[in-house]
Amino acid sequence: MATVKEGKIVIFGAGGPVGAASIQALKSFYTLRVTDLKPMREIASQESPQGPNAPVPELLQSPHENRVVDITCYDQVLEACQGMDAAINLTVVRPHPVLAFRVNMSGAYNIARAAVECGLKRLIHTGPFHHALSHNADYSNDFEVAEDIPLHPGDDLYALSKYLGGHIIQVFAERCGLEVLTFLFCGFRPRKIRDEEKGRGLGPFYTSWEDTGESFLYGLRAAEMPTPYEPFFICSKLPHRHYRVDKAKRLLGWEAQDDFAEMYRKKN
Amino acid sequence: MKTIVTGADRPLGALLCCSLEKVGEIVPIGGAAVAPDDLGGREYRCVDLCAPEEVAKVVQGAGALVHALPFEPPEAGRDAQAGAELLDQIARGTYVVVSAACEAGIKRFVLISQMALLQDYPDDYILSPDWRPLPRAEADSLAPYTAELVCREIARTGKIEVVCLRLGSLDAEGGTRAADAVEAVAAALCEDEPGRGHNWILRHVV
Repeated sequence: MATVKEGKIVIFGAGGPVGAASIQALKSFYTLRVTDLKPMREIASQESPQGPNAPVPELLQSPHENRVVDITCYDQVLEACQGMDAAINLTVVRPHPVLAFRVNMSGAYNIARAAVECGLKRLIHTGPFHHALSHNADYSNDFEVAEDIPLHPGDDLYALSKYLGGHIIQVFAERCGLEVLTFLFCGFRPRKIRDEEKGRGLGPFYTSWEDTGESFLYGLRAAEMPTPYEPFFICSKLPHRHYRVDKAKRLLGWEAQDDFAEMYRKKN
Repeated sequence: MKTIVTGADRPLGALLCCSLEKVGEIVPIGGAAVAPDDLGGREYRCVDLCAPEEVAKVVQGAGALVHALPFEPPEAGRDAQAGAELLDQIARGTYVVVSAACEAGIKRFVLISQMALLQDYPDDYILSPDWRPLPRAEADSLAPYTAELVCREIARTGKIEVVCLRLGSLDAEGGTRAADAVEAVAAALCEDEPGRGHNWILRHVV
């Protein structure tokens, strides 16, 4: 059974805002092995590189564990997976021409291979869904887009390298019996809407940091998936009807609490 | 037309360098520091495909590019770290090569991939490019698959036309005759509008 209701979870790339949100959501229910390329103590002491509105990870104490792991080094990834029940992959590098491939693609290979070797029950992989990629095969002109559609990353370094990592993980899922849930994200924002943001409009694919963190709890606890590799849009239910979000509700039981109505409704 | 051939330090690449004289000037490139003996006197260049500056320099003025390396990449075997590095070398190298080809205005790009991507279908199935590839969870199998994905997705942007030829083992039983491989590559280089509106054209040569 791939459901993970308790036990030990390793989080790779936990130093970013999504890691911060997932730590908050999971720390009371699981024993976490929190990993990043930088020491978590250093990360926790600084403002997020994504600005003052992005959450910073809390530095957890025992029984949780903080560990430095380089995702491009297989032995470190394997060691981090040992003794765990499930893994969450939040690692990402966006603009660097070498590291984007090493982290987003080869890193995904390392995690999938280590997860299989260690017999993990479930892997939650993450990646971007790009609303617009400046080519005619992106999905910016389509509506009611569902998460099972093939991604079309074009030549965008970040989108393409993550896309390759997703395909590699899908092969491991289908070939090796590893159950993988891939969470696709686009825009993040804080739950709290500032006065000056009200009535200014909102794009079609947004989630709050808080809802994002909760999605991992639901992902770990969900019943066995219909197929070994299932992608999900982690997105608030927004009235644009650009992206469908019913699969996450149906298979994970998760739906975003935030609808950001004050942003897309005209301000009185 | 000047045509670049990658993987010229491997058997298929070397064969193509010696057999494609009809299409014009051939520029063999490979990763080996020492030039192979069997390139028919053509000047070989050692180029790191993962180095954008090196690749950009060598594709200047070319009209076509044959990316043969994904057909015969270095073997990773069972070692996990070597597997991750092979994937990086092939996927990133392909990304660098296709991006440089787009930048240089190369209109025709021929990718040589492997029929082995479909080897796990039952033997009695009549396979065609309409069948989904089934790479194994091994770097040696995933490497040509990532090369295909990179080329397909960049082709979809409309910046370049890619003909992907999947070959079986050369001159092996049930594989691809070397002469057929050469003929298929020559045809892919010379055809007008092979995709009839598509920029990604996939063919099996068996």
